[in-house]
Amino acid sequence: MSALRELQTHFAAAVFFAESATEKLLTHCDDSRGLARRGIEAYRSSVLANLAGAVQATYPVVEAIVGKAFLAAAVRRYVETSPSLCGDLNAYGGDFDAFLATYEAAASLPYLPAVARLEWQVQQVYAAADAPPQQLSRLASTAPEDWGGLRFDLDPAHAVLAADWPLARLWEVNQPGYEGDFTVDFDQAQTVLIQRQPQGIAVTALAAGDEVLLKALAAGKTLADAVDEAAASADFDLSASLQVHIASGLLRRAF
Amino acid sequence: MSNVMPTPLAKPASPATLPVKAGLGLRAPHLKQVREQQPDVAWFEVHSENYFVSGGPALAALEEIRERYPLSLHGVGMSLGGADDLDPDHLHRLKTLADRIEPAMVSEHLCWSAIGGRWLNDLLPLPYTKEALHRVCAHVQQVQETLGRRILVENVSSYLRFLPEDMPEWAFVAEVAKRTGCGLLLDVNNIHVSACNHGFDAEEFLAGIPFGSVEEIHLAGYEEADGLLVDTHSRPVYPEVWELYDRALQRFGSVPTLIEWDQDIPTFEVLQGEAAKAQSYLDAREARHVRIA
Repeated sequence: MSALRELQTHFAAAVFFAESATEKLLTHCDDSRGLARRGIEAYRSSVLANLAGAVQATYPVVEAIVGKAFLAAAVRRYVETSPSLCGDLNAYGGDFDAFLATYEAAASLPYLPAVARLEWQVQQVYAAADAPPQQLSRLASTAPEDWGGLRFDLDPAHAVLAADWPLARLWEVNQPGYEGDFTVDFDQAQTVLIQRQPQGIAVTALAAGDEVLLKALAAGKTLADAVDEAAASADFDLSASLQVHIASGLLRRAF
Repeated sequence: MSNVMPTPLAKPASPATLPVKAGLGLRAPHLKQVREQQPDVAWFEVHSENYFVSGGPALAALEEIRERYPLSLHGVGMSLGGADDLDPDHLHRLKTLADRIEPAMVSEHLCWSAIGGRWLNDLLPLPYTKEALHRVCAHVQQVQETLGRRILVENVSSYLRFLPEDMPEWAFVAEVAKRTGCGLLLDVNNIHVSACNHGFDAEEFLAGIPFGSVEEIHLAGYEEADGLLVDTHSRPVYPEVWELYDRALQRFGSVPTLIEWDQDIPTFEVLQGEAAKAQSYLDAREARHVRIA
């Protein structure tokens, strides 16, 4: 192993695994001023604080539910056990939901991992590519009886997330400034549509038929094939679906 | 060639170089205010990685800033001094961003941030050895070749000094510039922090850096804990650092100077006050220069 690699390996071990590795790192350090241990400690707290800060900033709804101190304790444990794999700190924390699912202190909040998954998806949607301007002239110029042959491009800045919990409702009541009824029916499973819109991120509940329709359209299927798949759901209403998703900008282009 | 029509610049409002003036590090809490009020600031610098996105409001905001102000992209995650290879994806994202934004400057740190594929996401100090020098230079060249432009590299602050070393930090920094053709971003606060932590003379650092190689200066505030200075970017610039800045200007001439503030971020007006102070040093240096001439 090169001397540089050995030093950096010992350094990382001292930061993440503490005492025994610290002794090894000290053999590489000038300690003539008696500050080397203090220096290692400064790096340890700086590295762990950077990682923790990134995760904490990604999960404001989890924080609203469990409180700042509880989240900080969970994140502290997470950063010790989950390596960062990217030089962009914004990419760190994507599996925090999986960590929460195994985090004993959160066992009484079984919906918390789903909320974390939602927040990670929100961050991805926020950073997704910009869509070209909406272009639906093909829809307008096609007779409604021939719409079945059309396909649609969807806005890249969207995601669909299925959960066993009322995610849209949990999102809504935990937004800053939300005033109103805080009742949440935890027996209600919700699939949510996450969209980046000019006024910000929108999280809405998606009916089962609608979910199937969007999934089929996103996969490049024709409207006729997508409707065939969605029609199995009792709640499916094609004209309502198209109206909503055209108005929200999710359906960008008909072709 | 006078009959050749000049090619219109894609982004005409922003010159290709940073002005020799005091600028500000632009962070998320001030983005809205800057877009709405368009304050009088000579130039801005942002952290490249915060814009490693495919689209959305953050990138749109940066493009808007770029149309109105000279802009510098300052990377914090390339790990130029890592024993690991550079992450090709990270490099690709930086190139995509630089191609899109066409910044006046691109800079990175003389440090390492990852080992064995695990990232510490921090600016970690190097041993000043021939091996590390060779490694850093290869990586700087790789970045410059990929981007198709020169970059600046910045000296970091450090809380540890590694032994054995083959040269002092300033010789290492100077050698990177000499071997790769890159420019130097001298962080005067980092020199002061490291000098205090390791007991060297900051003047000796300045004296070891060749004239003409410094193209930008950074200033920030630090904190002290248990005898160690920690580069927190959480305070105003300290008087000792202003003095060192003045001496750096005397040695290297006037260069674009940036105020950085990353923790306990104050109001934008406080940052503007710090930039005005840096500007007064630049102005005073120019006045002296004119008198001598």
